[in-house]
Amino acid sequence: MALIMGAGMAHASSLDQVISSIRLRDAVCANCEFFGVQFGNALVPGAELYRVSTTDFFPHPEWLAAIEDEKVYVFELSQLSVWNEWIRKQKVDLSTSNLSKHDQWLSMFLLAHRSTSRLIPVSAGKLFSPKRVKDAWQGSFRSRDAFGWIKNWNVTYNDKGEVLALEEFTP
Amino acid sequence: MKWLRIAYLISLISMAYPAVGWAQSFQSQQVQHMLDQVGQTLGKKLLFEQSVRERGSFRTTTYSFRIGANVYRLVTDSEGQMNLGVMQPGSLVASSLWSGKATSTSVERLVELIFGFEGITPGSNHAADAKEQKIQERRQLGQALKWNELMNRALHGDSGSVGGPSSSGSEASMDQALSMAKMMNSCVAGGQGGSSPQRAAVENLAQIMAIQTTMGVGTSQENGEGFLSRSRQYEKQGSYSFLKQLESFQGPSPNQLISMIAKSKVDFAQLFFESLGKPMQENDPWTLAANRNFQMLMDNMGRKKTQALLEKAVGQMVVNVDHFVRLDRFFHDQLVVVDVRNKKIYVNPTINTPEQARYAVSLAMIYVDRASHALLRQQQLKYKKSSKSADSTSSNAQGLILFQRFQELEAGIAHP
Repeated sequence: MALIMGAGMAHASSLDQVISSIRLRDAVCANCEFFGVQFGNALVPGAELYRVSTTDFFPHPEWLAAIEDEKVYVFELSQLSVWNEWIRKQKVDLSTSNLSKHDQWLSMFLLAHRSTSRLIPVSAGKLFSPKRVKDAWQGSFRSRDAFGWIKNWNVTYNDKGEVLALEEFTP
Repeated sequence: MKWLRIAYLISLISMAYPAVGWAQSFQSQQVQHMLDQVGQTLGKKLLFEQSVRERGSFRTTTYSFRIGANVYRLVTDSEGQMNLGVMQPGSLVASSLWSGKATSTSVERLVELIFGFEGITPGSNHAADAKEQKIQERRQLGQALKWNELMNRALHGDSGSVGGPSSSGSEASMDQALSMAKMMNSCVAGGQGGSSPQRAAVENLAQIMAIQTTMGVGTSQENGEGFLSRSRQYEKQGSYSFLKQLESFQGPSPNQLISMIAKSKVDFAQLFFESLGKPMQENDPWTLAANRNFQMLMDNMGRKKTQALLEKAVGQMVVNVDHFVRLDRFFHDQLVVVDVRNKKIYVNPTINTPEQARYAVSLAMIYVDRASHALLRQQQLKYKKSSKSADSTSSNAQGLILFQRFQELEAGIAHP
């Protein structure tokens, strides 16, 4: 019983840490009522990841945050360096051409940067087909945001999952 | 013996002035301490005004202080309640940052809330950084709206309408704006250019640029040549970062451009509400999507309730560039955002066609209706209860259901 309570309190305090970090960076939500969940991901099973939202706005915004060594990483598309800093510590290995691994990476990346967006599969079951270019991987994918807009992206990343380039393009 | 006397005196004082918590004990020192902490980050000394009101045994103390243009009020009362509110310039109602028992908060928490509201990162930021951050946020807005790309194309296409000194009157500038917008629209690739929100951005930007040009503010002839030569380089290079190029030569920088937009006489609210009254094209994708949304509301709640909802939604609509900039950080490319708590609907200021305006209204109506959905409220209460308990599994499960509810509520909305 003590163990369960302990785990619960740890969860609450980590979530509080994430929420207070979001409050500090997004001034509009300084006084918002947040809710959030902890979840796992196949790409990085041990990582402490949180999906957080607020009930104060509609449609609801979402943040994805990770906690490591008391530091909170809140991901945002314009801050790819945050993603790279965090993923570097996860020791992700994408050196193989096993595409399901790359699919997992892409789902995780999109969730982190556009949590309300959804990936549009290239074909049945396949999210995208990256190609090996020198030491990096290059691929394009399409996403549909909460508003329904379809966006096209080109992404280049290395074997560790760090993003080297990301750009939106018009086909 | 001496210590006994002192203890006796202290007990007498405490009986005469009973301690009612943080609010009554050493409030002015606490407030000064709080302002010192904020002031340290901002790099300036903050001062407060204190006023006391008494009605019978009930007493309130108000501490007022100002950070930039925002006026903060910290009110404590003799019953130990405390409220921290902020009034922004131009707003009629103060927003509450914190309220509750004074004993249940701390100076650090209040400082955190003030920093949060001002958008300042404690320790690292000072006034210049805060200003830079605002510019950054506005720049992000520009990026989100793809102004850079669109301007890129505009400059690439025809420089005459950008730097042309011939037009002088407002009619001429509007003609110029329209022709520029048309030119820019034709350049937008991908087939969506004719009906995307970016088109609205282009038109607004074109109007502003045309107005600024006729008012003599903005690019000089020399700078116009600079733009021209860069556009030639664009042809040679195939691609380049417009923002980087802008920063590297003598023409208006992105910051200047943003300030031109801010200082422009364009009334976005007027544009929006005027466009609501104009006739619209029947087969436009925005019109069709708006009609589908209206139809769905009519089917669900009937004509009278839909009409009441329409009046309510339009009454709560706010078209404000600053608010949009602040919200844009986590509502990328969103046309309408409902602030549920403050009952305000923020509309993307780039909307300026009758079709888009009607679509925005239809979207706002759906959002207002769904934000007050009974199932959503119930789930919020369940989550609140579970998050207070120590069982993280239950809290997580309720949170997941809440996420799911939100996603369900977005279903069925028609998009152009």
